[in-house]
Amino acid sequence: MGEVIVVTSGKGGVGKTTTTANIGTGLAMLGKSVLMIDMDIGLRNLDVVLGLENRIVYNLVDVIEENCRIGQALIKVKGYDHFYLLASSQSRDKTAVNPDQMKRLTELLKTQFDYIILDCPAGIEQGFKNAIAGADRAVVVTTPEVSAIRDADRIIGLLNANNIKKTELIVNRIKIDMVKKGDMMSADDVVEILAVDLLGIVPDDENIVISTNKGEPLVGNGTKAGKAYENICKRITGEDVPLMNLSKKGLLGNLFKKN
Amino acid sequence: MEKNVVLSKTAEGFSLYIKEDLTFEQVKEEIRNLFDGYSSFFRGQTLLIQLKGRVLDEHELLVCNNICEYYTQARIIIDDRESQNTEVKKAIVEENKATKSKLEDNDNVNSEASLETLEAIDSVESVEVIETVEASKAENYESDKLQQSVETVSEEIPVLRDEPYVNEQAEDNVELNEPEIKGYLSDFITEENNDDNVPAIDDNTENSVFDFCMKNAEIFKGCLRSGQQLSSDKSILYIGNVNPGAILYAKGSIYVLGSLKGSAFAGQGGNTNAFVYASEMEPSQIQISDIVAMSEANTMKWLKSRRNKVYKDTIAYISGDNIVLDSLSQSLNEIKTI
Repeated sequence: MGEVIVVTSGKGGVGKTTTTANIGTGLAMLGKSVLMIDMDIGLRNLDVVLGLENRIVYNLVDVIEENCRIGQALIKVKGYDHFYLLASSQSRDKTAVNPDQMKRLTELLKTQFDYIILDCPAGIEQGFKNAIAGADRAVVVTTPEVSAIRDADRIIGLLNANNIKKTELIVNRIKIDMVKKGDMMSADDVVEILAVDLLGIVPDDENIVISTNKGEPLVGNGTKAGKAYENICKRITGEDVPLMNLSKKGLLGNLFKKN
Repeated sequence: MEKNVVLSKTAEGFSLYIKEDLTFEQVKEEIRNLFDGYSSFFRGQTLLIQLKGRVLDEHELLVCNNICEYYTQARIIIDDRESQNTEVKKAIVEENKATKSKLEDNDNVNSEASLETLEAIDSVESVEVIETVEASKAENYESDKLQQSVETVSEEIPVLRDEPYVNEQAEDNVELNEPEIKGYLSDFITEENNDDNVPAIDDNTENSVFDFCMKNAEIFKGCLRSGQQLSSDKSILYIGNVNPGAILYAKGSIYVLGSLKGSAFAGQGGNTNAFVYASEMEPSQIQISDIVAMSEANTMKWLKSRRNKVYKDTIAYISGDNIVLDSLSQSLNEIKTI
């Protein structure tokens, strides 16, 4: 029996889709069987981030409306044995699906996969309700900005109210230099306000833009952000990984620091 | 040799003779020694004490009152004037009878606990045991604070008013004492309020407003998040943080054991004696009765390094037509004198 994880944030543009793509890929790399579902009906882009846009034939709404079998709609990601995407529809909207249908679908798929990762749309309306209906566990993504944190706080409240037992936090786009100068909140500041367990910190990294444009998740490619997502995936599977030291400098940096 | 301080029984209560040439420090010390250990004897009663000998000013009187109350756990009325309204005395005698019978009921529960704690426990029987323990802890914490107030009462802490506060005492502390909350109250003030700046004494209230509120509090714990609201017909004791965007509504007072970053609306329905307490006071809005006070936008206050202006253990209450923020020690006295 697998686990259904919803990746959500409340505010848009904080990195939900990137996080979903990287967590999914990271878990697949660890040898798990993973299914990603794009819940953002009408504004799909998880497929783009994964470079699978051209391979979509059937989508989530087709599955819900029984226009196809589930197996037909699952898009296999190349290079992995059990790593699939269920894309969303671009032509419909959030009302095409209701929470009960989602719950039934995830219950069914849970038996086939280790992890089902739901990419939740921004906001707290129908799309959000659909996404959390079948979820066992939630990952809340936030950036260290007051607006994102305020929305994350609201989302955590709603998740608790909807009996999601486990809620964890990813603080995305930390700029360590700004934190040191005192111009940006540190992960500790964020955790203090939101009072939930920290799943990981992802540093701001230009490589994210490159990887998104290329359609290849950066987990496992040696970048700092990639390493951060790897650690997050290990933590999701229950492994105890310490938070990585973001301020680590190169050899030269260390030499200068000593003097 | 003549004793420095002598307590003797009179027809109405007690008389306390203080030697003329004592300094105030000595007076405090003597009174402390005098009442130490009397808690089991006087607990829950109301004592009327008439002062003789050394004349105490209003401030010293308040300090002495607090010392007495702390050590005796009784309600003390210190009277420095000879002519006392007989009606008040009568009321006190009746009140004593009432509290005595109440105490007898309670004595088998816990002989060590103070009256306040007992009443708090009585009122929350239905709540989980853990929460009751929390409540009595909170109560003990308050009484600790009371003792501190005895020590620190001489340092005047500026209150926050509608008009910009001018600190006359310490120029170097100006930034620290700068008002963070200002009331924008002019729209709400009615004629009646203007006539009567001093809150009227309600004969039906319990020993103190604080006492009264503890007895009538509903207890919650957790983390109140953005968009969530709690309301109660009684007072609210919230154990945990109240995050920005969350709102507490209470007909009575609101106590937050945690940081209050959201809004607190106390005294809903017109109770002007209600107040708001928070261990960390950074509210976005406070409303008491129909008076609203709102925080100035404080940019970057979420940064720990810039959060040095957090008010710890602070009470917000109505003074005149404004809501004022005050340190707990100072305002407890304020509330007792109502």
